[in-house]
Amino acid sequence: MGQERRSVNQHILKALKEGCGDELVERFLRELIFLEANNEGHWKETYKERLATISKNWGARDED
Amino acid sequence: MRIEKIKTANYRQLRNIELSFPVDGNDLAIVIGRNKAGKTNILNAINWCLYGDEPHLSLESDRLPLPNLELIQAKEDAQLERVTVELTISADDREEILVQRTGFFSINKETKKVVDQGSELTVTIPDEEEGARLLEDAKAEDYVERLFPRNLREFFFFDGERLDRYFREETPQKIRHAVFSVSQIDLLQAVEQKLSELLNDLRREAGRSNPKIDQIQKTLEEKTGKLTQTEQRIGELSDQLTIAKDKIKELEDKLRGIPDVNKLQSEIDRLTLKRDEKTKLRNDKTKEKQNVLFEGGMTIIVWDEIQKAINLIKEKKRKREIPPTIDTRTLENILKDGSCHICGRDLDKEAEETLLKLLEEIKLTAEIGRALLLMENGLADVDEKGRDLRRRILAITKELDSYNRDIEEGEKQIDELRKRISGYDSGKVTDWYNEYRRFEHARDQSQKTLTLLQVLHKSVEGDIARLNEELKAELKKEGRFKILKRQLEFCGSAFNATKQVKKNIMDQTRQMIEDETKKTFFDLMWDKDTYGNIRIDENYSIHLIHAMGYECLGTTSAAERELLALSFTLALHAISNFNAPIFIDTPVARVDDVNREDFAKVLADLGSNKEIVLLLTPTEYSREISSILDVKSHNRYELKRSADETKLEVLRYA
Amino acid sequence: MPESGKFPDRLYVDKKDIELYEKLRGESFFKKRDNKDLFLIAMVYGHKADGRQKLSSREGYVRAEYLKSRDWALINAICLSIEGTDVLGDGERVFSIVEECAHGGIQLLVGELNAIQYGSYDKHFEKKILDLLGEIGLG
Repeated sequence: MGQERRSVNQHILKALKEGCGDELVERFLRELIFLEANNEGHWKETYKERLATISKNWGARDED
Repeated sequence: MRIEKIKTANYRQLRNIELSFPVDGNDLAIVIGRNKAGKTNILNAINWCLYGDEPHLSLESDRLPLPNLELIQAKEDAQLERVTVELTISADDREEILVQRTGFFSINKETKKVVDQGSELTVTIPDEEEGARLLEDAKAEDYVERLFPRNLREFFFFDGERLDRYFREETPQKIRHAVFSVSQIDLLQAVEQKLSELLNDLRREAGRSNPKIDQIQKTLEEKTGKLTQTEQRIGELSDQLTIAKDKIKELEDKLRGIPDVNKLQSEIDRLTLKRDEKTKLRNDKTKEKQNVLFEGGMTIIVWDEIQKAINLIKEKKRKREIPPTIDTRTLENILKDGSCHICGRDLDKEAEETLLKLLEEIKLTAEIGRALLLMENGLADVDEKGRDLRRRILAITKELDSYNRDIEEGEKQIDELRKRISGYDSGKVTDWYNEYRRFEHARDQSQKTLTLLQVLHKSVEGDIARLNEELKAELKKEGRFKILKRQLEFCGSAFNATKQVKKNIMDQTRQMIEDETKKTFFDLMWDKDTYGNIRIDENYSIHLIHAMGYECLGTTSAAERELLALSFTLALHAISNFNAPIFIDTPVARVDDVNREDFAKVLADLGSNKEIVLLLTPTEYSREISSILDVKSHNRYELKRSADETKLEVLRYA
Repeated sequence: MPESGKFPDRLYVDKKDIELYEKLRGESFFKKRDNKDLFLIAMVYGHKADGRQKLSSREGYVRAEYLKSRDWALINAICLSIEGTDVLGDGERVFSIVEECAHGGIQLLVGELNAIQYGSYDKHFEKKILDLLGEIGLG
């Protein structure tokens, strides 16, 4: 489209990788950070939608 | 990212100028101009174009309207006048981006009064399909914000004076904020905040059909809010504490060797009061001595006479001559009666005469006797005082000597104290001491409150963890909350991870900036042996450590301060995602001759990695400086005002 | 106190001496002294130096009612030493004697004052008295 996307500092991405302790959490946060960087509106729906999708796989290991 | 060209139309004294900065090897450009030629307004023009404001206006420019004065004077019709500044920017090997701001001004043709009617920002970006696309209004502003974030602009465009004042004015708060923005931790912060909100939403959803969960959720929300508040307050207090500590240090340096004038003055006042009291006592004692001497002295002068009188009275008393033994009344009665009361005979003339004579003699003797007796007490009094006189004189003299010694000692002490405070502007010193004590108090208060808040923080964190466990247990009980529970847990993990990552990044970024600043500073520094280290502590205070181990930021030269500020800025650029140009107005004006060339070499070399544009006065651009800079610079302009000061000419030198 | 009526109601000084008494008050040692004190010290000075002088003019200076017992002691002791006990019966004579002593004495005092550095009469007088105390065996 040509709209300028604000790139995210590599240090943050690296810190996420090292500090999250979970691949899914890392992926989730990475997506959210890029969302923030590009300041796209209606964040709540997007957040909820991403959460619902990613947490499906995460939850399986924790349930009785 | 580079600014390729700056074009202005009717912007202040830069009526119609075009400055282009093509790269040819080194990326150093120089613009020379006298004061008021418009150099600083080049910075203002860039800021106005990007952000709509002019942060570097001089007092004089601030009083003048934005449109060029010639334009205002020539105004004949009522149409709006336009002022335009256009920046051509190239970003990371892509095609050029045009950022343009146009301001509209109505100018009254009679009064020449100028009214700002607002401005428009447009950004023209290359577009694969359409060739070029125009962004306007909010979209244009967003775009500019991404190119040159407003909150970071002070690290791209700044004047040399600010470079010198950098670490005097930049509180740790501002530096932390810069680190925050540059490292994009604001993104994490936004995510954290939104995840928190999302968590609350999820809990509320669960709470809607289960009162217990609802209760837990409400309490969690409350506690989370409290935690955020506490963290904010802790942040504020930490900043306050840092400011107080820095200020205390600054004042300690200022006050080193200077006495607490206020305290000394109080001591002087106390000693003066004491001296005055002693002086009064001495004066009273002096009067007492004078009295004793006066009265006693008179006695001593006629001591022989007094002793004779005393002895005379003693003798007469011993001989019973006084008091008189003959009663004169008896004789008077005998004379009156004309007959003797003893033998009863009538008095003849001879007897009468004898008795009269006797009576006269007795009367006189009686009178004298009475007088002598009357004298007796007075004589006893002066005799006693006379005998005691020497002792009294010596005793009083001793006391007087003691007072005199005390007074002399007091005056000596007062003199010494006065000497200690003379030569100081006591008003100023008192102000400094008062400020010092205020900040000490503030520091102690902040520390106390901070400790309490940290305890509270821990306690609330504990509560939240416990509540989360309770919530987890409740959700587990109800099968229908399986998905919600999963989402809550995941979201909670993500939230906690965000917080932890944020802290890690802050620490890492601070460390990286410290390392980069140090590296750059020591690479560029001409006198490498003087300094040992640079440290940015966890409160974002910058410390420059001498090779001998002590802090010396307050005592470095202007050149070294500017170099440190520049190194810090370059570190921010390196760590941040923005490879932005640096514009510096009058970079070497405050640097003394000794270090000027060194600093010029540093600036010249910077152009190998980054676009550097220097705005210099002819005085700065001396032969020595130009010989250093010209070698590295292919873009040189001179802003020249005409002789009548009405026109500005831009001369380009190859 | 002697009976009133036997003595004049005041002590007199020579008119010319008023100026001298005022001069005396210029020195701090005598500054706060009243007429009586100044008269008495002039009197003892005049007597000691054997400097009695008859008054050529008279001006009242000290009211007799202000004389205290120790003042009378000095006056009478002086008169006793000059004219013997009989003088004590003659109040007018007593006053006349001491007036003459004072008339001579004030001139001596002022002369002494002029010979000394201004402001140092205290020390001078103190030394004089301490020396005298030594001489009479009280020092």
